Amino acid sequence: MGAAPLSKILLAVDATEASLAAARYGIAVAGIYGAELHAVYVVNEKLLEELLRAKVFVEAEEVDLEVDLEEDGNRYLSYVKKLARDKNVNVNTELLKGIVHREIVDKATQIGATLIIIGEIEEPLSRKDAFYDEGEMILRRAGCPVLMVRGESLVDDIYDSL
Amino acid sequence: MVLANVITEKTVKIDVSGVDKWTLIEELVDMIVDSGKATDREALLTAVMEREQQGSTGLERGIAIPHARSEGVDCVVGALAVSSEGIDFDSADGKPAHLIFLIVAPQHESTRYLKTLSAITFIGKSESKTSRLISASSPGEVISVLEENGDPSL
Repeated sequence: MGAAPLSKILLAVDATEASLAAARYGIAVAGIYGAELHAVYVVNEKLLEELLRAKVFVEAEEVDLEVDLEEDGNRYLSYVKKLARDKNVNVNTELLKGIVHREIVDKATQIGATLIIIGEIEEPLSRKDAFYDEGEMILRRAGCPVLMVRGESLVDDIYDSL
Repeated sequence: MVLANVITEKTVKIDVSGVDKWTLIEELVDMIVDSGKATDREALLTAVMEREQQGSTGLERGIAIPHARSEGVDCVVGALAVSSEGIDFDSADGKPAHLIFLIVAPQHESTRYLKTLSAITFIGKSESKTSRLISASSPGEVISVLEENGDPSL
């Protein structure tokens, strides 16, 4: 028999309440089923590059923003660690940089994840954007099952009951 | 939609005309302060003005995005001035700005700040959305357009 379905979970964390809800759900699932839990935050370099191309920023801003985006990521990962610690669940966290969906999918492959958990996907800005939304791309490209978490109050009940 | 969480009816002003960009920026800061979303008006105004002095935030296609990071706010906040006449913003294409989005964020909200700015540049790509915002007859209508999910033609 191969790996159990919930043996190794990868949480995709980003700067949204939706991903934190997904993290609470992932922590609960890991706690209940004894899964090995990993959480990754990817600094979205594509977003910054788009804004640089549109000349929104001056040079001094660019440097500050790159540092601050990493600090954002570390802050969110620290919070996920705290959420896990509060429920006696271990989580391995990692900050990555690059194109979000690629980094998540590659990380999942690298660690042999049996499930990726993501937060609710936002409404697309356009049809083209629907194909380029990072959450959608994870769904399309992942080599393992992907669970998108919705229903925050249900998630909170599950997490709180652990 | 990202912007509808940042800009509210209270921070939208339509039919703007006859002001220079510096006065308008100050008015937009005051709208944010009056909405209760800023804790330090002077810090906010200084940050935005200093950023504008470093280089105009007037982009192409009638969009201007004066912006800054400041500890005068606790989260990403914004205000929008709509001008059918247009405001001289020293824009990159030499044309007047019709949609002037003021966006401010604290240091610890960098990702959400970038997503908000990105959403605004996306609006500039949609002629349909831009013209509907410019011709809106009320702040409520502006918010409705901002709350719509993108532009199906894109």
